[in-house]
Amino acid sequence: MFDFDYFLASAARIYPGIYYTILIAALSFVLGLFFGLILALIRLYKIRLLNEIAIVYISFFRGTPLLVQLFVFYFGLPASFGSDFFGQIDAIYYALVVFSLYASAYLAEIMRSAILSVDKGQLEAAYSLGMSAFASFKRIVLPQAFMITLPNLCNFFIIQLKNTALAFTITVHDLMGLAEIEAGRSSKFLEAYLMAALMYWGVCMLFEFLFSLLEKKMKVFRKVYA
Amino acid sequence: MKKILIFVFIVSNLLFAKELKVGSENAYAPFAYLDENNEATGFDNEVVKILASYLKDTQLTFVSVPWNAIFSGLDGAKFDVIANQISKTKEREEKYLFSAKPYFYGVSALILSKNGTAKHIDELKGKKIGVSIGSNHAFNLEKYAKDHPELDLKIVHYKTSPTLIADLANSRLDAIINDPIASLDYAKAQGVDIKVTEFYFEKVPVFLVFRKNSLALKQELDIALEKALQDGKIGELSQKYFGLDLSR
Repeated sequence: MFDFDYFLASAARIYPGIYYTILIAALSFVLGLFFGLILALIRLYKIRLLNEIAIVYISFFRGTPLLVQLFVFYFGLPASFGSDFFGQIDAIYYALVVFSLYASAYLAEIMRSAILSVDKGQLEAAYSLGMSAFASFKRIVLPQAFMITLPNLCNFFIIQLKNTALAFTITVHDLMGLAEIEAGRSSKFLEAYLMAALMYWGVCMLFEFLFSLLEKKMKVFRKVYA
Repeated sequence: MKKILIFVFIVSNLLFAKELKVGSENAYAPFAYLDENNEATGFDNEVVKILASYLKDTQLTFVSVPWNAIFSGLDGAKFDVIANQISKTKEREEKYLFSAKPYFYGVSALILSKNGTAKHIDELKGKKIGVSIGSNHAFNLEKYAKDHPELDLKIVHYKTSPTLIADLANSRLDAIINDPIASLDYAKAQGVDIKVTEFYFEKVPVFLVFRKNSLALKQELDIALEKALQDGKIGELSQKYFGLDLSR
């Protein structure tokens, strides 16, 4: 039997987890964008040695499950390098670092393809106006690339939001974590998980809305076909 | 000649000895399991062997039975006593006889890493204490933390027990609340040291179980159990198996 009263009451005990869910998703996304852009540029300009490292790095973080990465860092670091330092770092920092590394690998590839898809003519036009390489990249290429790939970024952000449900495996009390604790207390799994599902959905819709606002703002960079 | 004598001795023993049939799961290490020679061993089975040593002319037979058939096997007289970590419940007490004393206690204990010094949970003000989700240990700690807000205990929930032990060992946690036997098992498997304290949230006593019509047998074994506890034999056995005395 579905206990509707309990279902409603569980909301109060589960919602504080939203804080960590959004924190991990948002911070790892921003850091991942920054680090991913650097990786993308290394790959585009084929900088020697760094390029090879970037290829291996991206391959590793895209080719292994996030859950495994979390465990390797969270349990592996203290076991390999002593717990005096690594054991004292709170689980949330492990989550933030691993999620950021994971995001940077995915976003590197998203950015690389976006930059490649900006028309070469745009860059030539910038040079002909006497812009420096850096300025033309920053002011001409990057905004257009960002606009082109905005739907992909939104897509990845939403996937990342749901990935954060794994953070509880290393004891971070995120939304899923609080739902699990609540279900463990009451053994009413369906009610607690359904409440968590609705909350995830709500947070997702909020961010979809924010991304659509951003898209409207960025319209100016959209390609105009004469 | 000698062989014949021995043979006669064994046969006469079999004829005159009372047979005591013991039902146990025998797939429940370290409490009841079969060793490599298919001999019944484990803590609970060994307890019965000790009790039998106090009885005259008793022939022990261990009957392996799956957990879900253990009570119906007792009902159907496939065996006469169960020694398999059975605790009292109201329903069971209505239907069966329990030994006068428990021979073991399952506990919800405070466990520290090897350098821990606390003797009581109240010494762990503001510390991180780990429990596994949905366990009675979690329930006990949450209740205690709620009743003692001044202690400011930080409860960390884990999905599995082995990770709980790992984090205690690598000093992410100051303590855990868990079953000491399972914890020591995991610690051994991981090659780490943990320290089981004498602080228990609850002790669940474990008894021998008989049919209602086995009153004489029950009384006989009650006397044997009393003696074995007095002599410290059950305590020694617990030390041997678990490294601590859980018989008192």
